[in-house]
Amino acid sequence: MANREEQDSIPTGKVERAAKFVATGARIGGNYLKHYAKKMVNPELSREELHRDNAEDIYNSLSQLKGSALKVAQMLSMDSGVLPQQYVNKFSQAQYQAPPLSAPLVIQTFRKSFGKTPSELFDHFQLRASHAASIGQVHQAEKDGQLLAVKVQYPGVAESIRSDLNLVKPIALRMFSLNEKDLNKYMGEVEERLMEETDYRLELKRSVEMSEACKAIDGLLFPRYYPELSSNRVLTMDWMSGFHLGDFLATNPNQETRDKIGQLLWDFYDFQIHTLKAVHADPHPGNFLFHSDGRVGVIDFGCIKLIPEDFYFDYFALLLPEVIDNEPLMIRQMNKIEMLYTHDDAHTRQVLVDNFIRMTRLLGQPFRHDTFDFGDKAYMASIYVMGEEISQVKEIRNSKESRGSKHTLYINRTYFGIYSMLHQLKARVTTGQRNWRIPLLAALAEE
Amino acid sequence: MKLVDAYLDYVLTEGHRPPTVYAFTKKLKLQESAFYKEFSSFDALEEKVLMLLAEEVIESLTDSKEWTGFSAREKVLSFFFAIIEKLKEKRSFLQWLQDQTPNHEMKPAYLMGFKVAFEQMADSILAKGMDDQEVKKRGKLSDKYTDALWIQFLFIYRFWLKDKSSDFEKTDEAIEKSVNLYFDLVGQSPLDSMIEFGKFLLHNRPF
Repeated sequence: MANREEQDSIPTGKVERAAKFVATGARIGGNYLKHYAKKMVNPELSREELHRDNAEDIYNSLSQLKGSALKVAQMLSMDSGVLPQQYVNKFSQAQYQAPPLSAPLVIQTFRKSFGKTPSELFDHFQLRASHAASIGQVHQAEKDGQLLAVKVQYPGVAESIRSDLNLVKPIALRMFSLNEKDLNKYMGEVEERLMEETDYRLELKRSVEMSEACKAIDGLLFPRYYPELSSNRVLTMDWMSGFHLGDFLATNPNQETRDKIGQLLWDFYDFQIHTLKAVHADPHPGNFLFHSDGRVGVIDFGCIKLIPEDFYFDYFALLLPEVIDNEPLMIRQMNKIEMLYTHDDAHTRQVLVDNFIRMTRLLGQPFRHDTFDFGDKAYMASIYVMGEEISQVKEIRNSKESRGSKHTLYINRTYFGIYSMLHQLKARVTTGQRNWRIPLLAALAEE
Repeated sequence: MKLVDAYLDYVLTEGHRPPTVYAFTKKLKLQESAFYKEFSSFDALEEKVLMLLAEEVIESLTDSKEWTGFSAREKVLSFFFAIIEKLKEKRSFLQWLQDQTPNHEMKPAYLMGFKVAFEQMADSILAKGMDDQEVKKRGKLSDKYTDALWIQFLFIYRFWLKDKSSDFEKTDEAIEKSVNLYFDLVGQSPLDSMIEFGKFLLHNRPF
């Protein structure tokens, strides 16, 4: 009966989503029926038509749902710097959704990974998941007096991500009116990251490395990881306390605490990007746990984007006022990061340059001030307004070519995540005058 | 069990049954009667192998710590997971057996002893499920619940024999999804409520 309870406790949002999927399922079932009915009459019929029918139905509901396909849509549209406000809420929660694993399947996963059941491995193991993670679910466990979080991955996730991506491709081609080669460039990047996320062994290795590298930053809390209790589909770490962002804000933290947390997050990302050149590219509020004393726990290093050296210099130079205010220099950088192509005609080129400069100025504003107030509603609104405006520019909308190197996808996503978290925190952050400007300026001067 | 091991070794290396019991026992330097003391035929031997596997699974399951706390749905899930896990030990043999069987055979001879053990287990889980209201009694239809579960198992079993995914992950998914569907169907469903409501209207027509 426990299963019933589990389902009853799922919030209505999920029920609605489930209903959506049922509807899609029924439609896809219909597509299959249609396919086989036609096939009886005409055995030559290809499956392509079926796939096309399915892809559209699936995409239609996916765009209202969460899913790896949505992740692609999210990032592609974010990359052009255009994210209409109405999508923001949906997109900022984009995650893979799957029904919860049954207790027997959890036990089965452990048996396959360790040859033992969870109750043999831990002193205590909660068979009901405490919450969903991006591609799995988290169970609470205890061993030798230590409270643990055990992430268990859904079976077949890697496969379903791949098929999701294949399904979304033809639709994305039309939606973003890109040519196939350029779309593949982005899709390849997304697939690579998503596949990495399905490998918990890799996540364990990276989590240990990242938490080691960042432990000097005062106020950040990282869990310990347990390799002997982890496998490619099970990841065990310390259970972390703290509030999720929404709950934390509901406690009405004072401005000082919010500033302290904002600063901590900003410094954390600054360090990753400019010193480690490897960034936790999923600054989703669910990956942070907030404490009332201003400390922040960081969990989930599934998605790490390594920033190639060349790209680093080409891209982050755009943050320097010395570049933004110098149009020829700006054009040079835009060519380098594949925002402009030599074969663009003069008119298109000018439109792109104007809009890109406008956008970079606006998005780069926090970097031009010593302190920046992310709570500034007018600033966030102006970003959305400009995004809408730019998406209406026909030279950009009709461009069949991708604009921006594939590396920008995850970097932009990271900044988008940070900005929106800081905005929700209404944090005032000291952003200006960073040492990383020096090597960037030096590299510019060399050319 | 020396005979069983020798038989498995024979069919898996040769790809076919020994021509006669005589030839088989001769190879083992045994009297033919030694074979008949335990099995009446090769068919009986094959059936016995599967039945023993089922019995082992059922014993280890009902002994496990989690078992008593499980709902019927969870019991059936664990049962299926555990059987498939156990059958892995003899996968090549089972594939060979299945190759000898017509594709849509619902009652493969070698699975008949296994089926008896399976159905006993299914009966007891479903009966408990009905007591707990997790499984809905629907008159004569309820008698078919066990049969339906057996057909479902055959589906999973064949799926697994053809499964090429790493560590048979796809089979895990197939079990999880199909058993959930099964319990959604045998549990209280919207259809039951519709029938109830229909009956009510029939007897209490307001107009």
